[in-house]
Amino acid sequence: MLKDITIGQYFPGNSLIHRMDPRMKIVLTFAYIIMLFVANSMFGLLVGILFLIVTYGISKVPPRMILKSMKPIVPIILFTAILNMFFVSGTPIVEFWIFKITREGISLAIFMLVRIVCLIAGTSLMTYTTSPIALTDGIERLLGPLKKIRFPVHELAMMMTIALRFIPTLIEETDKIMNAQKARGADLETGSLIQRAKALIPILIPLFVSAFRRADELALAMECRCYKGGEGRTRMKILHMGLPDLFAALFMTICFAGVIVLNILL
Amino acid sequence: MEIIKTEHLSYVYNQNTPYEKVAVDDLNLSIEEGEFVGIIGHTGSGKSTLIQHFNALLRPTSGKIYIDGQDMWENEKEIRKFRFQVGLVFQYPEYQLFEETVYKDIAFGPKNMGMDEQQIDRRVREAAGFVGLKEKHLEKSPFELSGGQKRRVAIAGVLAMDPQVLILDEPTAGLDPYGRDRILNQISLYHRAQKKTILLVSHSMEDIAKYCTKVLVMNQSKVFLYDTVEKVFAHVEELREIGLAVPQITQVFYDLKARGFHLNDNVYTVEKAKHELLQLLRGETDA
Amino acid sequence: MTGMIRAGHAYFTYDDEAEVIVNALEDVSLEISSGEFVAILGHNGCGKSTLAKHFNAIFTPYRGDVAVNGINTKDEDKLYDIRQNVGMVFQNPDNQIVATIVEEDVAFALENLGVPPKEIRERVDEALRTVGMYEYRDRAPHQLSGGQKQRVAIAGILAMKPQCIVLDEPTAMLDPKGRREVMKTIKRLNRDEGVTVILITHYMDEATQAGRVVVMDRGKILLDDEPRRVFSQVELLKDIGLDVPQSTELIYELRKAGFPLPQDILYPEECVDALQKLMEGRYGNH
Repeated sequence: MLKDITIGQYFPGNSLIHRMDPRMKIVLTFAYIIMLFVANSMFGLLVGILFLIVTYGISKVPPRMILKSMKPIVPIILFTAILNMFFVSGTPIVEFWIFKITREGISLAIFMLVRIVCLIAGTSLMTYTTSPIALTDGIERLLGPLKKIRFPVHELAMMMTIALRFIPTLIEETDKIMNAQKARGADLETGSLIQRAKALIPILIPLFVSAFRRADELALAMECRCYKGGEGRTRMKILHMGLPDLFAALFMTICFAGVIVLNILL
Repeated sequence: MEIIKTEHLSYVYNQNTPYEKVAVDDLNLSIEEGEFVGIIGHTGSGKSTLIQHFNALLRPTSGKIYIDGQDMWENEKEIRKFRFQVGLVFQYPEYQLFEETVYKDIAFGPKNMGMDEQQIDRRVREAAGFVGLKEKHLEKSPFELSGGQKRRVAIAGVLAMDPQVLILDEPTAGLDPYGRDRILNQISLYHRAQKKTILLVSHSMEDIAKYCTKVLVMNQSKVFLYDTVEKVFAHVEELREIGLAVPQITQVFYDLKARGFHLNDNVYTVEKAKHELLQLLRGETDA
Repeated sequence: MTGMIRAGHAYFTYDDEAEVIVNALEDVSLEISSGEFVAILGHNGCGKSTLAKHFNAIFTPYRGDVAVNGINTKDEDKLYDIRQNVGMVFQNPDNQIVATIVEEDVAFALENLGVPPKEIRERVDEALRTVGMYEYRDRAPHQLSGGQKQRVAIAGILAMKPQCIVLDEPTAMLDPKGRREVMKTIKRLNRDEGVTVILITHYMDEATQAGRVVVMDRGKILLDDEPRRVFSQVELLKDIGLDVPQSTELIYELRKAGFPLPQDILYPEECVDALQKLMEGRYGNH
């Protein structure tokens, strides 16, 4: 059933990492990504893995969640690994027809594989420990300075919030409309590609009509609650950096420095 | 003969997960052809899950359903034919309208049944007539109509498939008394003219008392009562215990009886109440 | 203070789907005092929602005036004063909740008004407690029932500390349990918090709970009186497509048949008492 789809991948909890300022989490996630690309040896990546072990440990997000987030990108990982395996020149190990697998190829493939896995695991940790709304909030405030050049930061954040709010509603609605059309004999499961695309019309049109109606009503309700854009708006929840944020930043800095040192030494 | 029959029907949502929830629990029910059954029960009592089974939108976790004597899930490939045999009108059905014209929208079901143009045309006009839509409405866009009209178009879309059983899930939700009476009257006329079986989910005991022949009370995934209107509404205490009401007038009579007046048991409409009281009052005066 | 909301000879028209001009309001004059609980009753398209939208300046009349606390709703500079003072709750609970978390949504109006964060927190908690949804403050809206969502929407309005709440068919999409929850909340607001309540509805059983009922038909005010007096007009209400309580109808029918019964029966208990009295009077002992 469509209802089973979860939005985002927030894993509720109350760990130190959950309680961190979303701004810091976003910044550190970017730092972590950069670190992974700066690292030019397996040892550098080991630092990245160490970082993951420590942070996942603190967050109490079960490690099997890493596997879950990995699932959709398995083809990409494999594709990258195979590409590297076959197309890097060096000392050949196996050769057949026009393909040859080299020692360098294998080590590079493993290196890339580990790097991608770390990348996904790292960014997933952020989405696991930060609710979509906190994330939106963090992004809005990080982009705050852009308001000066008239970049519509508030509007963007508002749109994201409303989208997040209405995704479950619209999913439920899609489910209902699908059932209703099925009850009138609509065949959604069989037929050629074109037939199936056509079968979507009775679902998409009511869905759009309903989305517009909702948008209309929501706009009215927002007006009634004195919404007038971002100007002069305050927020109930103020973000503030605390000790956990400081420690996290410190830990990140140490790891990053470690990677650079390893790069120079090796 | 029974048109719908269930044997040990059970349905479990999210089976084998922590969110497992039994929605229909070992249900044995048989509904005779031609009945007008009112279905009542709280949100979450299993009534919505149950009616979706009759239309083959849900497959039982265990147990069997027979429609007109045929085992529904015996041959899975032919399941769609039951959707034509049992028409289901969802809540707020006007939100499923999508075609350019009312005519085309009503024709959607018959078209899916593979009928030819002529048959479709007959079905559309017949169905439009049942719900009181006029010729001039047929070429309009459904989105131009009023709320009550849209709903009647949506109901016509199901009637056009000429189902043996018609199920309506709260067809009057959100309508005003006039719109409500209009739709229920038309359904009632359709029932009398076509002799079809009708299942009506409603929260209004007054409406059920007025139109239905039988009442099915669902409670906690099970059938709490299934009997004629008089007999079900005679269970004033039991219904109140599970948080359901009887029509206000039935309650008044129940209270009067509790105060020692000898009154008839099966009063559930104002008309009947008036008749009953007048007889009593005048009878006593004459004596 | 009296005359919190005052409509004087207001007229309003709009184009319907087929672009025909509809006289939505015709010469409507009405005065609602602070602390009242008024139900506006009528069938769909009678103009009751249009009238409600005049109370917080979503619409303004093309002829005549509507004033809130003496401020004309046409005064655009005072728009937000009016909207803060007269809050509005709509029919569809889903389409008025903006945020993804209950408490964030209740805070929405206050954030718009630029209230300091600490005060927002206090007012949000208070509003959530008033509607009995404090325990659900960190839930997502789609996890709530219809009645709960509607109470969150009411809290979102309440947080603005309005003098008056207008509810436009707030129970039309709810099941009986949700309807009871919402009605209970509305009544408590009026009784305990002194909030003026204007309830737009086509359910007569809800209107009977108000202190005053205004019946509208074709853009005009037909009746404006206390519920008992309004519902005793059985013929008139039926003529314009409205219901009367079954008890009222039964008594009305018996009166028509010549039996001496009181005219203003509204509730089943009163009906039982009246019938008992009648029958005992007829033949003393039963």
